[in-house]
Amino acid sequence: MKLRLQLRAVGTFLMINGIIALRRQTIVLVSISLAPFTFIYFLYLVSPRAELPFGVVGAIVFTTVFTGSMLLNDSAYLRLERHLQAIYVASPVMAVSYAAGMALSELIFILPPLVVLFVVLGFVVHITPAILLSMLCIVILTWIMASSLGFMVSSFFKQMREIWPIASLIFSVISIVPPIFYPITAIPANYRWIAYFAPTTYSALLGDSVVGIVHVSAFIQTLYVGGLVGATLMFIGIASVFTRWREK
Amino acid sequence: MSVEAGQFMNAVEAIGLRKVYKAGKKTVCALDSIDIAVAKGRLFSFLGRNGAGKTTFVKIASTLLLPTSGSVRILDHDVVNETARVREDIALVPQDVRPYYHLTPRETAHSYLRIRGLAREEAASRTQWVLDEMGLSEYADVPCLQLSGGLQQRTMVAMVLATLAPVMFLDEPTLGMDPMARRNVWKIIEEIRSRGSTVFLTTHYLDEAERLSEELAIISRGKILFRGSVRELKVIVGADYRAIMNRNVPRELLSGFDTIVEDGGRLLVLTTREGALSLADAASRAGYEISVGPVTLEEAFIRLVGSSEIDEA
Repeated sequence: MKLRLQLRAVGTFLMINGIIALRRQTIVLVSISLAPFTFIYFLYLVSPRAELPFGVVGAIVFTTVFTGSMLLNDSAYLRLERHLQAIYVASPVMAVSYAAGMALSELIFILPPLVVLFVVLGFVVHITPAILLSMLCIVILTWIMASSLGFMVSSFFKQMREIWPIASLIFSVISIVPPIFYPITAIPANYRWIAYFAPTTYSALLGDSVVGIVHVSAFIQTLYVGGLVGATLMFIGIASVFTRWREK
Repeated sequence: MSVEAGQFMNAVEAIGLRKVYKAGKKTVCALDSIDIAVAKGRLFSFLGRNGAGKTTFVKIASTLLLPTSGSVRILDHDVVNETARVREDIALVPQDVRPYYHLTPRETAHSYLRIRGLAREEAASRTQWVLDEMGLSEYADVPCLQLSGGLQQRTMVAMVLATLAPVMFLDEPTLGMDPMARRNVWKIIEEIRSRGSTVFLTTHYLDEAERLSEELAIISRGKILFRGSVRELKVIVGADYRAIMNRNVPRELLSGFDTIVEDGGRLLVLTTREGALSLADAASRAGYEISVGPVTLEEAFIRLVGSSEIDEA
């Protein structure tokens, strides 16, 4: 019964924050789609044609990570500006249900650009059902990781003015700086280890190897899987310990 | 009067509640050894000036904030150790709350009831009931973005009151509403109370507290100054009548009256009914304007809180 209540809460949050919001604010889709397609276009202009698939896989990872930034902004806004989170805290709704509902809502917003990106990917590389399934798993793990980070960080803000610079900094560091839109070999070998600290590096490396634009051994690919799963579990753990659902 | 623990089950019971904040290098005591008991099914008002500690208390009692020490129990469950259980029994209208701007009042109330576990049909009928009661039917399907601030506030109050939760915390629920809308809210608050809910209200509208409360507490700088009924408060301030006069009346006219408060450009004389009538007679004969009537809660509040702050200074 209690699980049913929490699942219903997740579904209702998805409906009000995602489906109804998207239906009434379609313009948001344009701005969400703009960033990854801009990067692809830029890469198309300045990079060798052979590197375009890196850009498409990178855009898929970038778009997915962007849900974390959106979740951070939205949940901080609902808590600080509209004081809505307080109503849900003082109710049977659990923090995880609220966070899951919000995260699913953000996923709804990125679904249309993701579908387009997968279609584009189909034009630049050969996609089999197994590759498609693997890429979807990467998207889901990356979404969970970014959402956990976004929700946790949002709970620390005390005022709206802090959100924009900090959210931009965090999500730039994990979605633009690491080798997401470019191959990791573009980083000098001496400094390559730094890239492995960014959790999104594993999403991109795994994506590149899964679609076959980078060839690595099965062992290395397993390490990438371990890195992505490990980073996701780590962020879930950190978020469940440090998220401030109730103030101290 | 407050209800002793054990005599009946208290809906809200705070014992030795203390909350200390760090504000920069300073330590601020927002609540200092607060004891409150609100019996089940009653309407309790918590009054005080801005920053007195009302909202801090509501935040702790509604599981939003942890106390520094002391305890709060809701229907005999501790807000710190039995948080999940407490949350099943409470609902909160926070201060300055605003709805999702893309939702309509109907969607706002209905979705919240669904989130709290009501079946679709029950949620729909209760939503319609609360929209009718709150005078929101006309705006039920208009996105909140297009509604005035007062209508948005009504939407949020409707959304929470529709839960009929056993214990409701309403933190300044009628702020920004017009007089008719406030009366609609009063009506529905009385209705949900008659259905058995306990209502814990904070407000700056003392006419609202006077109209609705069965008991009240006044808090100033984190400490309870008074706990009891409106009538008891008037007894404590030593007057049940008041006379209002222009501040430049001759002082000899007021000789024999102990409780004279300057309230803006006028003098407020707190006294007995006989005293007020004799003052009215004297003032009329001397050609001064005077208005006489029963002491309001607001006047008693000003007297009590004002004198406590003078004492502390």
